[in-house]
Amino acid sequence: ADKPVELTFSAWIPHTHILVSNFMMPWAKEVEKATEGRVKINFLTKPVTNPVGHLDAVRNGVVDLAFISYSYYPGRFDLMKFAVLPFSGNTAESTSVAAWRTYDKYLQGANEHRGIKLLGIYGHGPGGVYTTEKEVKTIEDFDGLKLRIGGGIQADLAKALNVNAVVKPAPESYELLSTGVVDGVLFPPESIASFRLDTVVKHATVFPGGLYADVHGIIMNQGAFDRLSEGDRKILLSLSGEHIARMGGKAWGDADVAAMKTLKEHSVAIHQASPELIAAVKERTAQFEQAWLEAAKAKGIDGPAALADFRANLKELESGS
Amino acid sequence: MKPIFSLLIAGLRRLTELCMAALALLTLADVLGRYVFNVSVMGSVELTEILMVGVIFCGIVLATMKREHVVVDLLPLPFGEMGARVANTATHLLAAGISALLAVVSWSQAESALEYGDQTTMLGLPLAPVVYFMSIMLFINTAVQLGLLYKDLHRETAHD
Amino acid sequence: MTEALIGFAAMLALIFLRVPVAFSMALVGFVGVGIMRNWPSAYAMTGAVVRESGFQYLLSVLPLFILMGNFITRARLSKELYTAAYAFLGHRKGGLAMSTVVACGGFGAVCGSSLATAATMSKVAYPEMRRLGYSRELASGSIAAGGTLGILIPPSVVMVVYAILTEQSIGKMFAAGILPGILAVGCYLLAVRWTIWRKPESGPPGERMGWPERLGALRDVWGVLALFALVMGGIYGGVFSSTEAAGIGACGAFLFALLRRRLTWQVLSEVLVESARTTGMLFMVLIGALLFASFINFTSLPGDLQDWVQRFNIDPMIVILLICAIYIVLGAVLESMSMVLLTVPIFYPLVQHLGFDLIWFGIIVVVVTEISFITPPVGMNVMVLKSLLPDVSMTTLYRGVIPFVVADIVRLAVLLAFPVISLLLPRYLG
Ligand code: NA
Ligand code: NA
Repeated sequence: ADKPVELTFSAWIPHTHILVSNFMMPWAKEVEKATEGRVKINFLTKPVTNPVGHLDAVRNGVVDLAFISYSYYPGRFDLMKFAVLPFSGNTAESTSVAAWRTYDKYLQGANEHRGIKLLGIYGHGPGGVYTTEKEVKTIEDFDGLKLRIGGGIQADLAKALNVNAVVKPAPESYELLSTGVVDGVLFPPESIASFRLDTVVKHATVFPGGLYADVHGIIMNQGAFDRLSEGDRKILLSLSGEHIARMGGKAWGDADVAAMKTLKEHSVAIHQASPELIAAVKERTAQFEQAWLEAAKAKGIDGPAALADFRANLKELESGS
Repeated sequence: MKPIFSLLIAGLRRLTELCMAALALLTLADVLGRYVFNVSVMGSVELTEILMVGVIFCGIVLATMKREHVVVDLLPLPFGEMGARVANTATHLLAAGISALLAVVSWSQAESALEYGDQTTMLGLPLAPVVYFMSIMLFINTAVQLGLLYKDLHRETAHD
Repeated sequence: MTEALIGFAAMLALIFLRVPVAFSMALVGFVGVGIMRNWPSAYAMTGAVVRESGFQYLLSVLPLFILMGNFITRARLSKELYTAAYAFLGHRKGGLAMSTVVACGGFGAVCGSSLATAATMSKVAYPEMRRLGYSRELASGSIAAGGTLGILIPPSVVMVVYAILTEQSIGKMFAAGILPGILAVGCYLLAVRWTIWRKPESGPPGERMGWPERLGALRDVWGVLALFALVMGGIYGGVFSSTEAAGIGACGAFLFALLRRRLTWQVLSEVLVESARTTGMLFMVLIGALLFASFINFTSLPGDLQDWVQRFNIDPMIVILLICAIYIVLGAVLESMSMVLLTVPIFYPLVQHLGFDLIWFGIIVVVVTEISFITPPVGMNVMVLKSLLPDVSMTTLYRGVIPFVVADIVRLAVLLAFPVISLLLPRYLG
């Protein structure tokens, strides 16, 4: 038989993280099995570069495969924001699958992934506000609240909600919270557990559909993709797209469920956002959608149709299960 | 030539001082702002990162000028005086070559940053100029490295 | 595996041919990736590493702690520290060497670097010890070894680098260093006693001071205490993050130097430029180490290490002892910071895999790094002392540190046997 094509995968989170152990590694095994060993995916022991650098690392062929968070590239993936706006889904899996379907149908033409081969996207579950002492129950509670945030939609949200945003790398969250430098963080449940914040946060404010979300892409070097035989390319693609969305979304969603259980065990008070709070957040963040629609128009995309499709898909997926 | 050099060095020192002082003061402003006025300096993380580039890459050139890059010179070199001279020349050329390589690869990074319009998260500052700055400082570092070699060779010839 | 070993050999060869350490690692890393992957990849990877090394928010603590140390050095706090230690210990046999060790510990509490601690203390302590007839060995040995306390007692540049490489909390790491730091001072004091016991003439006693003088001397060190309280209190009191602590510490140290009228525009400019220069040197090493580590990452070495441990069913503690042995050997020939940058990414996944606490392993790494600062042939503290004390021979310097290296090994054994010494404070702080 021919020598197998060996592909290198670089993951910038520990291999013990559920996304790697429950999604990326099993997915790589599926690919290997489906191609009868002709395509083998090796994971590097440690990431090839910092999280942001992974886009370039794949484009330049330093590694063949990686995942990226779209929030790290302001200005490059403007249209991918459609799936991370406030109220974008109740579970990671529904957000992921709906996002892929909409991307596949409406957004390919914007060509935001030029220079790389996008295999699939998946997202995390509903993002919420997790605080140590201060409770968030009304829109006024956000005023001047010190929150650690990342970039992207979280930064937009911080501005719209008038919080005192402290933009620091995610691994610093534990220290910032435990020493009281910040009052809280914006995260999905899974991240609260994986950054070991479950012992320091006391309150969680959760929103139906989430306050925000984040979407990742599994990307591949174009040259590496072209090197595969035509048959293997077909097999790889059949295991990509919606398959990746389901698999990644499920891994992240399962972790959310487990994390919520841990939070309850640590007697974290979980507050469901009141209708008034939801309405106030909707009002303050209405301009996000407007901005997205304008960006879509500028890139020649039918924005209203795409958003309607995304929401219809969400509804269908969430009622179906 | 001499006055131009000292002007360049003076300029480099001023820029270094500025970046270093700003780095410390920015943190102070951020912390004070958070407690006294309940606002953080907008984009302090990304400003810190840009100032770091200034400090690091000015610092690399300054360290080369002062021959401060760590060299292990405990094992004697073979072939006496002659061997030492050849090794010194080879070492400087090699170090200059590697410095030039780093300069060239970071130039490509800068071009890519420009092409994709890479920018910072909060303030939307363009990153390309900062990466070009890295590359330029590494090119200057290469020149300084070669200058040191020239100085060494010159001194040795004068010595003979 | 073979590729990694060839890479290491090539790097060491370049280093011994006197190519700067940073450039040696960079070259081997670039060529290594070029051969293992392909040249366009090596080109792109190298560019990414250079670019990435610049935009480092977390690493901003390095220049800022260096700046803080340089301001404190200019403020000449070392003199007061030494005087205070002398007031209490000077009248004993070997008392000046003991004072040196204690003052180094105190200076280490406000300075993050071993080199700076050794260099600063040498200016104050060495002339004093020689004046009283101390042997060159004991005088220089106590400074070289005492200086290594700079990276064990927080703040510490090496701890910061370790914490970032292994994604641990810097605050916890700092808290972990306090008790081992006190233990280290104790072990060094015993090393001085031992030297005196073997050779009483090497450290004659000084004069005894009365309590009024002692208390007076103690009062003069308030500045050190204030700065330590500002930095550590700020972190653990939740006023600022440990990344911000460096910037606040630098501003505090500036204010201190200013109030003591040690600052002119000229001095300020020198301090800023000097700090940037040291930063540039460190980051050049960092770039080189990251390139070399990228190459190692593409070889089978990291995976092979884990496989061996599993296949031969090696006892976890034996693995730790082997790692310590590797560090002591590597530490003899490598510059300390390059050693940490090169080895921690290889070892820590293995150590974590074996179920050890990474904060505890961090303290072990710092202690073996301390040893590397004073072991021949490449002992950075000894080399710094050599440049500051040209009349002392290298042999004398290395002979002087022997009792302290022994003390280090004892301390390492204690810390390995009792992880609680390292882990007690992080449980309550950070
Ligand atoms: Na220290
Ligand atoms: Na050594």
